[in-house]
Amino acid sequence: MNVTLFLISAVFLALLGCHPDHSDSSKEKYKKLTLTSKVKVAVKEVSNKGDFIDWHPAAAAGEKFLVKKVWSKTKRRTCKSCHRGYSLQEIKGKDYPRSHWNINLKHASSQVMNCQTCHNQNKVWKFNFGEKTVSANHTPKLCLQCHFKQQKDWEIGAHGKRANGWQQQRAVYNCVSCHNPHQPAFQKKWPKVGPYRPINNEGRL
Amino acid sequence: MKNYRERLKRFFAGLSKEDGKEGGKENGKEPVIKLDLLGKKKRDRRSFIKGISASAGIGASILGVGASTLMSQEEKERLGLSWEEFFKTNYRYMSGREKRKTVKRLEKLAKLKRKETVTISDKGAIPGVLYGYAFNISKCQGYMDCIDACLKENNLDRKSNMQYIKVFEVENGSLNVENGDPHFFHEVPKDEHFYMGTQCMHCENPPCVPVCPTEATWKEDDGIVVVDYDWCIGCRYCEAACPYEARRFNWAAPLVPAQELNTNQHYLGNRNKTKGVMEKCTFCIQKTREGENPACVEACPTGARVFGNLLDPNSEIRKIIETKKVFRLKEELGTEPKFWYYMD
Amino acid sequence: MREKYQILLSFIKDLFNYSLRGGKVYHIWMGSLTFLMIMGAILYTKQLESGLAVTGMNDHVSWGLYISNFTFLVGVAAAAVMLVIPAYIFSDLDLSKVVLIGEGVAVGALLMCLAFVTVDIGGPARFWHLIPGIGRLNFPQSLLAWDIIVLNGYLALNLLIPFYILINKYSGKEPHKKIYVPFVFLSIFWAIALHMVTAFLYSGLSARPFWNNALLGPRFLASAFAGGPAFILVILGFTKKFSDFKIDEKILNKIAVIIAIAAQINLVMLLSEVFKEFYNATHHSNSAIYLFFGIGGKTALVPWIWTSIGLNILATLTLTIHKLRNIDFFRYAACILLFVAIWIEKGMGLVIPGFIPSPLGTIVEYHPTFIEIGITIGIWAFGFFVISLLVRFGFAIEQNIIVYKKNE
Repeated sequence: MNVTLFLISAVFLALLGCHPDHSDSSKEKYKKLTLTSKVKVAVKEVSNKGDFIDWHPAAAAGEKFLVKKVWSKTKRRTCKSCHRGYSLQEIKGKDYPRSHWNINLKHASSQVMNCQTCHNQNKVWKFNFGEKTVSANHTPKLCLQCHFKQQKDWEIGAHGKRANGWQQQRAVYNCVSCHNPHQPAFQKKWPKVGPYRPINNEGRL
Repeated sequence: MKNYRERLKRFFAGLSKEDGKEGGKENGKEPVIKLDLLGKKKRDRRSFIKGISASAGIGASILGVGASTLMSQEEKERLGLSWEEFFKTNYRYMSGREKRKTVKRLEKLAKLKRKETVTISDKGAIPGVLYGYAFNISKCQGYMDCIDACLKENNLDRKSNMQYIKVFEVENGSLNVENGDPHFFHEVPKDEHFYMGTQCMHCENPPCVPVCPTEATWKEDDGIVVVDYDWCIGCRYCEAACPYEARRFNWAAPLVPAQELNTNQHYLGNRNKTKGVMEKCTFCIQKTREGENPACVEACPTGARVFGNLLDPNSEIRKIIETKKVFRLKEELGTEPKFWYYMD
Repeated sequence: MREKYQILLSFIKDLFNYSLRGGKVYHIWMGSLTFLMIMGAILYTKQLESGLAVTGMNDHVSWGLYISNFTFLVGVAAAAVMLVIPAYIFSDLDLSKVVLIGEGVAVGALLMCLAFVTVDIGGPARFWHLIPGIGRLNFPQSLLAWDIIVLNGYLALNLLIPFYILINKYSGKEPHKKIYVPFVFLSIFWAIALHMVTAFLYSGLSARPFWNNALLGPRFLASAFAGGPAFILVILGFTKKFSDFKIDEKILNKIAVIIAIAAQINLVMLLSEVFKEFYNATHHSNSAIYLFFGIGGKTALVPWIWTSIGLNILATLTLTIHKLRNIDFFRYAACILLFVAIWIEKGMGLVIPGFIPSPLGTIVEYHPTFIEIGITIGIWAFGFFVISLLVRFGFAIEQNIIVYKKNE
């Protein structure tokens, strides 16, 4: 009988020994996750810096990061790339037929927004920003005038998309990289893949 | 030959008769039959065993000689490599040298067995890194670009449509993924529904790790829960223990078309697996240990997925956890998953 | 020393010869079992070739027929000890003769358990990964590691103790109580540990609320101690009726009482579980709701569980009522019904519903395939084969039919 008792208590103690540590509350554990490591992870430099602009966020959000350019040197569109055979004066003239007829503006109500809200009438390569203008690569300033709610999110990374790896210096996509400025909402479409493991009635593959 | 037949006859005769050739009736009950298997009384056990072992030895050497002359150099190399691979130890306890040797062997075997030219990395965890993941449920539209990128990046079995990621379509009104439908296939996003994606949560306190009987799965120093596919015996206890349905079992041999194969592989990640082993999301270990983002993060068209180093106070993931209203699935289980959900 | 070696060799030889002798019924029985075993082996080669995809298991219900049978048979094996306790603790010599039968059943059940685990794992050639020293056994963290140790240890005990007793009987010597009684006590403790460990491997999983309760271990013990002795009783009754071996009626009565009590306790535990699940059903009770009533039109397990409960109650009542229990027909019929009811309850009533619904709420039903069922039947045939052999040996040596003869 003593042998049995001894064996039972030995087993019990052994089981206690392999018990995972639940002594911290969930809050303590969470805090551990947000500790900074003593080891500093090297930040890899971005190789194609020419494709990005520097962005300095509003005070609370932290250090500067890179924003992908909309028009790099190779991708810039000039008027002549679409309007061939006409001079700029002709295009700007009153008799020139209405252009960009196929652009349907589905952004805000027509009472607050039209083409001139963003596009500067005199300098077609610039965008209106209050009384000043900004170039195409700095359009986030433009968008964030109305979409101020997304500003903090975008600057910390909760909105938008990272354009490079986690270990490199932070570079994100421009607003218009994802959102068509004339129709910013994401469209409905079919999913890219079918559901996982098509399960039939019997549960077999 | 005739002699042998005689012996066999006597053997069976001895069995069927009531009183055997040797030994008589005992107490009227069934007698004890002393049977001499070769039928001859004089032959004893020692010479019998001698004969058996001699013939076995001759047979084996004939087989060995025949085999080595019949097999090509390639087949011999392949057998040799497979033999060494079979008897290697658990990857977790291998030395650096052993790890390098095994990935070299696996690269050669991939070439010999499946004509694939792959590079298998044995890169360890980057010090000072703990990976974390965030998922924005306001942004996900159910497009499933993530799943498409994942199965291509990780060489998932196409035949059984294996997917590490599951996207649930949940009706507005409850933030419970269990009310969601993971089998939807229609135009997305559906009105009055939202989408939540799940995959391996890479828990800090993973319930799947202590249950493995052979220590084939463990949590690496950078927080990724990995499986050694060559050590797993396929008991599926970890699959029963996971609360997030993260684990996938290879019920049949996985099949990836040669032109879609991702040849940039990691030992603990997207390399070839046999049937009968467990696998799961590894946060694209072959990419993340080189400083890149997982395939799902890179593929998402709405930017709903965020990845980073939890130990870096300037990382996006840290800022999201500190600023946004985040939650995790099944926190009451104490698994401490490193996969947070948040909304705009 | 040479003599011991000779005794051992002639012991094996005599048993081998004895196993080949028997009446027509015996040969037909063993022949048909062999046929089923061969069928099972052929189907297993198919499974080895194509992988476990030939079974009905999938990522949601990842343990099916094989592990259900394994769980049930661990209980049957542990129950052999139910006969050992009164025999040795209460010095009830009546039962000592039939204890060997119980241990023979335990060995058969354990070999079946090992066979079921072997056919269930995805890489059977890698079993050496489990051997501590050569592989890595995750002891004490993994309950499966515990289970492997406890199972093999129990198998060793159940082989060595009867072997010691029988070989002494065979060679005309009296087995020394001082040598085997401590091991018998160890095997009592070990049998309970065996089944508790198997229960713990289910009840430790916090991801599965259907299993994650405190009553699972005791429930396993109660159902094992009802189902295992029922099986043994049927074997004993069969042996008494159809062979020359002598078995005392008092022993059979005693075992029937033990079974009745264990079956009653099992029903009480069932009541307790049903109350907890259904009085205030939470989402944790979804598995129980699926099992007893079905969810969303998926009702595959509903007829099984209700049949099991019906048979269980019927059998328990029959065994409880003295007059009925003492009538041979009712007794053995009740035992068979009880055995079947507990088999259903442990397999389809416990293992499968634990997976349905899945942790994230998906309902995928399980239907075993022909290959799976074939392999299962093959393994059961193997178990019956081993049990038949061992039971016969036990009786034959106990009743001095096989005796060591020194003439050489």
